[in-house]
Parts: sequence; C-alpha cells; structure tokens
Amino acid sequence: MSHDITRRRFIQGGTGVAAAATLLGGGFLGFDAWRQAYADAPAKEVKQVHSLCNSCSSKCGFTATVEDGKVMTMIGDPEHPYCDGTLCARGYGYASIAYSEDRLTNPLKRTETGAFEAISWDDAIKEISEKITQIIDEDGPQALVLIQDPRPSGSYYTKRFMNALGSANVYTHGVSCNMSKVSGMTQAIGVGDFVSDVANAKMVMFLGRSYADGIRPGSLHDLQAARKKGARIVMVDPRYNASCLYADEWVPIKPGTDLALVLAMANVLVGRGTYNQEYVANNTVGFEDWAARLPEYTPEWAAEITGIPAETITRLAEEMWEAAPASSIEQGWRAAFGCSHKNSGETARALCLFNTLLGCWGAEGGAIFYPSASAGKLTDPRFAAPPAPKEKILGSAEYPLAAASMGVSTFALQQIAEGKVKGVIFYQSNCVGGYSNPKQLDEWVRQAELSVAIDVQMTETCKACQYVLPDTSYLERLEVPEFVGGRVPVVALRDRVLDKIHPETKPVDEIFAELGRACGVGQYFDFTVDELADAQLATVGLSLEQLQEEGIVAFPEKAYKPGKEITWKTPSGKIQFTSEACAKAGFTPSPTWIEPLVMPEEGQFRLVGGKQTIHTHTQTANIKPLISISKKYGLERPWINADVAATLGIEDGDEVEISSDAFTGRTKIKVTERIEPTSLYLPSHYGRMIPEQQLSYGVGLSQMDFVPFHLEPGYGGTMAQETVVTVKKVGA
Amino acid sequence: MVREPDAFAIMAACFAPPSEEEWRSIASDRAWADFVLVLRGLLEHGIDPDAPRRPFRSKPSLTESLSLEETAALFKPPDHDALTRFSNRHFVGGLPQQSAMPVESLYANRTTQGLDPVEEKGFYGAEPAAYMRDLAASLGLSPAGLFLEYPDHLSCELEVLAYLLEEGATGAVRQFLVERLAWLSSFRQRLLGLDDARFHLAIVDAILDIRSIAVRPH
Repeated sequence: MSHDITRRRFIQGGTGVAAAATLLGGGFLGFDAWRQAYADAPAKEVKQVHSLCNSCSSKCGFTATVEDGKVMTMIGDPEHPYCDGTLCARGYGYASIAYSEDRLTNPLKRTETGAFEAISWDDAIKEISEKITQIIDEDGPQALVLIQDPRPSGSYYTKRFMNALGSANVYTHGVSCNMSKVSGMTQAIGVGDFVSDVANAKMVMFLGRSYADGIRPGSLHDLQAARKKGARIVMVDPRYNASCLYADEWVPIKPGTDLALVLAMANVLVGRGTYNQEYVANNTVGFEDWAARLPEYTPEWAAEITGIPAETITRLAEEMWEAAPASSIEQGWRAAFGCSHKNSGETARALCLFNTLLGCWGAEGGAIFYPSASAGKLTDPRFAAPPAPKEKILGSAEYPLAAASMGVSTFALQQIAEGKVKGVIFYQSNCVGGYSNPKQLDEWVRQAELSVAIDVQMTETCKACQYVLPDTSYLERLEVPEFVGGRVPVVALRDRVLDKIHPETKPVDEIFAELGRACGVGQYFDFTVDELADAQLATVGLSLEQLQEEGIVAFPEKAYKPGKEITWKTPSGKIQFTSEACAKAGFTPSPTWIEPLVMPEEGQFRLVGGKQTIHTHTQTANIKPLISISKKYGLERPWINADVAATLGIEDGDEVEISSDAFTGRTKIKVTERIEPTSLYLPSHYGRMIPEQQLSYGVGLSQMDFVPFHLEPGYGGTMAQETVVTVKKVGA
Repeated sequence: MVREPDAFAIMAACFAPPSEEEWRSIASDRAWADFVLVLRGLLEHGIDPDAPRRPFRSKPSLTESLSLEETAALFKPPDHDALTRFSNRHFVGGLPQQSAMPVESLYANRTTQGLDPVEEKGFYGAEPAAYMRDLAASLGLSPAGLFLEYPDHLSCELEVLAYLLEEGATGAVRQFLVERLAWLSSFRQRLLGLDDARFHLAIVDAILDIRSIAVRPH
C-alpha cells in the first residue's frame, strides 16, 4: 500500500537544485548576513498614509510613514483641531497594539469549562445570528442591547445594525465618562458642550479638568498660549494635576462639592448685582427662580463644605467678573462632574448658569460654540437608514435627563437580571472593567442568553462574554469619514496604514455587515465601507481618493465667527435658569445644593480617580511601552496627603491596605502634598484582574472595584467617586 | 515511503492542522510508523550525513530524547478532531494562559528605536518574519496560506527546512536549523504550561534534539 504525504502546503515553486547551488555557491544567506544587508538596504516601499489615532476618543489626525509594511514615524497633523500637530504619549504608545502578542487573532467561543476556543467566522456568525433572531422572536428587539465606545465606523455600523433589528438600545461609555455633564448642560443651554476660549481668555477656572493628564494636545497648546499671554488660570481640583504647571493658582477642593463653589460664586455676583444683567434679561428664562435660591449659598456656607476659604471663593468670583466676558468656568469632561457624584448633572447645569452671569457666551475669551460640519444626505437607496425603532432607549424613563445619544448602559445590563434584556453586544468597550463595579457587571453579563464582545485584546468584558470577535487594529482599517468641529471644521479619515496582520481578524464594518446579512437585514449593508466613505464625501464635494491623499480637508467657509448670534436649542429658545424637565425629574427647577451621596467621616477618605498623561483608562493598561513607564515610575500608586499620612504613620512607598464596603486591596502608596486631605486619588488605569492582560495583571488597584453599583438619580451617571475608603499601613 | 524531508513536513502539519483527509493519510498506522522510524534516525544522526554519530545501537530509543509520556504520545498521534481542538485552544492569540502561538517573532528579542532602546519580546512581525520572507524570495519560493500571514510560523520554517533538505543543500539546512529553531526552547516552556500538550512537546523536543546534533562542531 502506498501512501502519499502531502508536503509543502505553505510554500510552492522553488527553482530547484540550481537555486540551492547558487545559495551554496554564494554562501547561504544566514541570518546575521541577512541582517547586515537588511540594515543597510533602503526600504523597498515607502509610503505615507493619513489616519486617525485610536488611543482615546479624540481620534487625532496623524500622518504615518510606512517602510516595507512597518510604521516608522507618526506625526500629528497640524490642521487637526484636536492635536494641532502633536500626538500625545498614548498616541505613540498605542500604535504597538498592531503587533502585540496579546492581540486576539481568531473568533472565540467560551466552552463549558470556561476556557475559550477558536471557532470559524462562519460558525460564529451563524450561532450569534441564530441567537439574536431567537431573542427577537421571543422577547422583541428591545431585549437586545449594544454598548460601545464610539469610533467613526463603530458609531455608524452599530446603530445601523441595531436599528435595523428594531432595537433602540445603542449605548456609549458615557455613563462612566461625561454623560452627567452633557445631560446637565443640555438642560441649561440646549447642547451638551461648549468650549472655553482658553487661548484668548483673561481668566479661566477649571473644575477638575486637566488637559495635560487627559485630552487633548490642541487644548494644551491653548492653555500654554493663554499662560504666555498672561491669562489667569485657576485649577480647582482635589489634586495638583499635571496642568497646574500652567496655572496661577491651585484651589484644592473636597471632591463632590464643586456645585457648592459655583453656587457660592453665583451668590457673590448676584448678591452684589455684579453680573451681566442686560445679557441675563435678554437671553434667559427663569433667572428670578435661581436668584431667589442663591442667598443661602454664601461663601461662608460653601467654605464649610468645600474646604476652600470663604475669602478665596469671594475673590475668585470677583476676579471672574472683572475679567468677564473674557472669562469662564471651563466646560470640564469627566473628573469633577462627568459621572462622579450624585450632584454631577446639577453641577454641570449650575456651571452653565454661572457663565451666563458673566455674559461670556460667544464672547472672545469666553465660552463659545465651535461650528461643525457633517456629510449631507445620501440619496443612493443602499444607504437609506433603517426605520426608526418604535420604542425609546431602555432607561430613558428611569433616567429622563440622561442624554439619549449616550444612554445609561449599566442600567441596561441591570435589566439582564430583571429578565428584560437577553442579549448584549460590546464593541470597543471594556464596560465590565470600567463603567461601574466590575464584579456586579460581570455577574449580569454572564446571565445574558447571548453576550458578544468585539475587541482587539482580551478584557474583563471579553472574558465575561460567550463570544469574542477579533477586530483589526485601528491601523489596519479604513473607517467612515470623521467630521470634526472646531475653530475651522474639518473632515478626516482613518485609513489603512498597515495590511491586515492577522488573517482571521475583521474590521467592524465587515463584522456588522455579516451579522446583518445573517440576521436577515442584509439590505442595510449592501455596500463596502469604501463606497460609503466615498458617498459621504461626495456630499461635501470631496472623494475618498482625495481625502486619502490629503488626509484632512478643512471647511474655511464654516470657520468660527466671533459675535455670531447664538441659537439656543432649548424648549424656550433661551438659556434656561429653570428647567421643566429637571423639575419633572424631581430636582428643583433651578439648581440648588445637593449633598454628595456619601461624605467621608473621621478616618475615611473619598476615593477619586482621574487620568494620567500616558493612559486612557483601561484601554492602554496592557500596552507595553505605556505600562512600562507606569511600572518604572510607580505611577499606579494612589496618592495620600502628606500631613494625613504622617498622622497614620504612613511613609512614601509603604504598602497599604485600602478598603471600601465593596472591596479591599493592597498596594504601595505615594505620599504627597499634591492632594487635598480628605481625598485618596487612584489613577483609573490599573488593577486589571484578568491574567490575559498579562502586562498589567496585578499592577495597582482598580478604582471601580471599590465603587458599588449605583446610578445618579435622574441623570444615570455611574457616581464613580461616591465611595469612601479607609487606608492603613500593612503590618501596622 | 517517508523520507527525511517528509518527516519535517509532517511535523509542520502538527502545528497547522491540515484537512481531515490529509491528516488521516499522515497519521495512518503505516505512514506514522514510517515517520517515527525516520524520526528515530534523525535523532540518531541528525540531518547531516557527515555529522558525528552517536554510539552504535541496534535499536535507537526515542526515550533518549523524549520523556516516557512524550514517547507514548508520539506513538499515538491525535486524531484530526483532537489536533484541531488543540490548535483552536492554543494556537490562537490573546489568551496568555492558553495561547502558545508557534510564531518565532513572539520569542525573539527586538530592539526598540529611540534614545533609550530596550530589548523586548512579544511582538509579531519582528526580524524573523522579515528574514523568512526574504529567504523565501531568494529561494524562488512562492509563499501561500500561512506563510503569507506568519512567515516565521513553525510550520513554515519546517517546510522551508524540508525544501532545503530535499534540495540537498546540507550546509544551508544545518545553518537554518541552528539559527531558526533556537526559539523552540522558549516555545517549549510555553507548551509545558499547558496540560494537554504532550504530543506537541514530543515533536518540539525531537526537533530540538535534531538541532542539538547540528549545533555540535564538526
């Protein structure tokens, strides 16, 4: 019996003995000789590709130089408003994800033993779509939920997919980011954000926001410019953050009390009549209601609550008025009132109203609204939107003030336990690891009948799911064009910098298109992302090819024009000191003091989080160049006030035990004067507790482990800083 | 009849499962017995007919190179289903406790650029991958399938070895064996951390032993 052995499935051809003889004749090109030749040889192919970073949600534009398929340089695009020509450390470090050992390379399915095994894409799509169809048939489309951290293609394809199925339940990460801020501001000014014109300001007060620790390089450039021009910069923050380098004054504040500060400053201005009375009279409704509530919020009252001396509060209010209208309280993002406290939404609302007293809306150096740009309507029927879902996003009734564009994602997960949600899909989201108490969220996700995570590396969220689908890295895919508002709005593109590295990974557009087809809604995905991008760009007179060539195209005709009249998108058409929606949700019509949910007692600390310059929450924790820096400099260590540490017998570098009702953990501590006495600052990137994040596993502690699951009334934010902890030295 | 180049091609197939039909052919009783016999010979005299020979034995024992458990595993190759399941569990990325991707770049040092260069491991597409691509081009080979995706995958390296052996390029074979497969020591450590890897450990240990003969100075 003969039996053939099939050989050489991966290489073919070869020129036979002659080739071998050549090799032998010239000497086999061993590795060292090749290396020498390779090092000296010029690259065979050099190209420049324009793309968008993915190390955070900013998506700064950059131009990559690629030599023989390897990224050699990345230079921030000067025209991109967010980076202004500079990429941050995250931007450079995160690029290593493309070749990381910890990349997911295959679709995975969790087996009965709990281990994951690779399955084919065909099997994954089939099983997932069958389950989705079953859930819809039995429980309706609202039993499906999708949670994502928005990116250009992700935002488009996830919403399209879910809406095509009839589900309105598309959530962002907002619940643990800036949803309370966006929602509160919307109640006052009709939109969820504005921009302090820092570069032209005479005075800016920052409540908890640090450009240098967070985002974006362009904003930091503005801060630097303001400093050079002699603007007065005040940082109100429990910690002396990295941006304080550019500040005239650091005002340590007890976290959760920014609302008291704002109310007290408003008390000073309104009480003295030193506010822009004409502006208020002409542009607002409900001022009298707020004015009547302010008298009790004296600086002396606020001093007790905030820890800021009454004279300082009074002085800050006076200075802001003196500098008006070229002054503002900066818009913030996450730290102080994005999602942190029971009063976060109302803090955001009050901040907008204080700025109104300054009359700084639309003023140079004040609070302005950048113009935006967007694609026009697409007429090709292939791109027609699916019918709007019949119902509203889950959670909209329970949290009526939550921005519908973000939704309360963790509430949706809670509905799994209630039996109302049966299936959950995550895209580019480590919800379980970062949006609230991980243990609780993990438990709920595991109860789902269907759970799918789409990501590039294993996370706590992936681990909780039944299926894990491998995304390409951002460097390997083209995405839907990104229209960016700014002083000059632009459109930019994430383009394919590298060829696909792992053959069994797929970009998000392909994943949802295949799922859509398998779920019977393929008619909404009858195009490639290239075709979609080209069609969108055609509506603004561009083409995909052109944008790929140029990288960024600006719309100078839409540039910001100072003095342009502002249209307030509120129900009244004016700035609202009083909000009917807030009143209906159980708040006072105009913002009043709301005490935080918890207050540290003697021997306790409020646990606060916050970003560091080199990390983006949990997304970058397992990125080798970035976590290496953390480990080298002990950046994972929590901060405790030096005077307080002395009373506890704690010295810098000691191992301590930190405890809340939910969790106890041990780590080394940093003793510093850079934190106010009642706070314990824990950077929000560490404490990854899955071995799959092998570089960051066991490094530091996770803030969220200490936080119980709870949601801000009315607004739905995570209340990430409504946790008190104790600290003691190990072995003491 | 299994020849020495075929033996390396068979070992390549162990790390990138072929079709069920192909594996059935490879792992049939007679074919596998032939393979083991050839492997024994390679373990005795290496790939180089001029290499120093081990002391004469009438029946060279696999347990000279392999543990008893590995020898047992080698004699009873997994069926296609088991081979595929092992691959699906371990030859996938992103699962450090389970993953054992047989890709040389992951075990090779690379030097970062910049002011403070460091040696680091654990990245795909490092120098070994570039070298293998260039080597294939210089040999006039047409990469296909796995070679296009992971040119420094163990299966690809073993197939190139098989090709060189078949072409009789003994010096090249020896140098390739010595230079390219040293990383298997680190890969072996990864396999040791798994609880179901005896068969693959047997193959890796066999290759390492064959390599050790090639390393010896003449």
